[in-house]
Amino acid sequence: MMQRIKFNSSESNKNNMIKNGLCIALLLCSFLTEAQSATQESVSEKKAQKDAAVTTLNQKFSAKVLHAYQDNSKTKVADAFAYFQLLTDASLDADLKKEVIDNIHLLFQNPNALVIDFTSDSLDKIPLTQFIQKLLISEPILFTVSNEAHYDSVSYQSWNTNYTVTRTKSGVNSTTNVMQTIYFYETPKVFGSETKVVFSTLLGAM
Amino acid sequence: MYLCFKIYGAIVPLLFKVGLVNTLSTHCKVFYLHLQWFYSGFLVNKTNVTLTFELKLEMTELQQFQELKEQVLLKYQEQYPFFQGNWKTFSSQDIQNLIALIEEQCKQTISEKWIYTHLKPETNSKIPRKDMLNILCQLVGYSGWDEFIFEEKGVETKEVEPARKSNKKAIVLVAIGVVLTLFAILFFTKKDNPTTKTIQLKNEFTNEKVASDEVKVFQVNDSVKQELELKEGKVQVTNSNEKTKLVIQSPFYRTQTVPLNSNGIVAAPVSQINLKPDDYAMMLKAFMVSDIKDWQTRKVQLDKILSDDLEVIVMLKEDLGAEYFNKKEFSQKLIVPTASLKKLKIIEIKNDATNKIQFIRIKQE
Repeated sequence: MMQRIKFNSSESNKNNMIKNGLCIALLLCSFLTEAQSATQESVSEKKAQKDAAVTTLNQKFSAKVLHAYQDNSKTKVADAFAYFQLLTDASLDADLKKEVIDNIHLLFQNPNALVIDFTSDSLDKIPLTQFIQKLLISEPILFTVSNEAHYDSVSYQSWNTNYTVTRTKSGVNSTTNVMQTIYFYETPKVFGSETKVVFSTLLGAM
Repeated sequence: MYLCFKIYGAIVPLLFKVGLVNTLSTHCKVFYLHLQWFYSGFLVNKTNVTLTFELKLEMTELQQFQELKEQVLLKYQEQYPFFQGNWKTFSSQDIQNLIALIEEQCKQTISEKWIYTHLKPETNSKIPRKDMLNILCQLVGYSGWDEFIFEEKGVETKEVEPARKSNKKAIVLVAIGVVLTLFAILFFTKKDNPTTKTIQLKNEFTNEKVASDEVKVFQVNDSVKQELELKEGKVQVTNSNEKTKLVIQSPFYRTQTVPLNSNGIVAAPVSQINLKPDDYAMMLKAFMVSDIKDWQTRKVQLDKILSDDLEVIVMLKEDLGAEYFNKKEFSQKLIVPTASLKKLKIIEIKNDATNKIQFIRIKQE
């Protein structure tokens, strides 16, 4: 009797374990399915949002207006290289160079944006702040930025500007094709006691 | 011919009556004198133009009254030699003196109001009462108005006496009259040619011509504002009425509104307008084209002349967009000027209550 009971008890335990196992598997399956669908939804939402943002930027401005802003960004590129050149000018005092560095930082979106190291012949990409330090101790360099530029890779808040820089160092000219990201987006700007949201054009990585 | 007389005969007295005779152009006034001469031809020929002759009489009486007024003024000057003016400048004290003089010499009284009504105005639309005219005539040495008119007519008749001699001359006069009448119709129907005046705009302090691209001149007639072309600092003004004004606007000079008189001449000065420069705007203009030297002085001065709330708008080419700069950003651009800065042109500047520059609108060239 006792044995039967034992037998019965172990049988019932086995059955229970199988049942439990099945339940857990079912639950896991259902969770996995839900999670998968949730992930799929999240990815598709993000894609849709990104698509919407890209579309919105292109729709916000006509080709003519966008080109006007892109054309205007050339001025900022030219200013940046004019400032780079000033930093290599040994005749300028340190205080003025501080002002020049301030101006460079105002032009760039990020002080650590990667830029081409025009002080070296290898033209490696280094952070802007490091490039500035290298310019300060460099021999004089003259930069000439091409008037012609073309623009591509227009995204929801930036585009790429392609232009040519001619570097004159130690009397030797070398020309480099540069592709630089230009950011263009709405940002709050402080005008004394007032803050307004305005479109800003900022230089990015090369 | 009679129709021509009717037309002109109707217009001239009408203008006299409504006091608009001064609005007639010089040509019209010259024509009027010619017409008077023409009328005198008929005075001697005594044809069937009685109506025109009556009109002439009416006009002559008004003229005679004007003559009487002049004689009264001369009489007054005899007694009061220090008075060198005319009826327009005849003061209330002069009026009191004249009343006293009339009382003394004519034993009659004329009220102050009557003098204001009939003698002070430059032109009169009607002849005053005869009893009052008699008093004035007695003052200037006549027995009365009738004698005064008689004496005046005597002079006029002598003047036209030779005309009586020849009917041929009358025919010539008629021909001239027709021509003149036709001219008169043209002058009355056609608006007077506008007077054009050239005005030079100069910097009040340097006395130099203003740059044509830095100043805008508008001619304002009532509510109509029309921009005038400025060449080498000169502007040509074509005036149309007494309410015409010149409005001169510039980011570098104080705005000026200059009224013009009816002849298209600037009230004062005549052919030159001096513009008062805005010091801070002028400094800013100089900074925009400066090189890197003196950057420290420039930094200090920029901080002084620019308001902390400064908003700078740079209009992109063809006005397709705009870029905004605050005080820090804009000052930095000027402290370390680049070639791109020289391609910007200031088109508008606004100052705050402390006269600091609060708003700048810039155009890309």
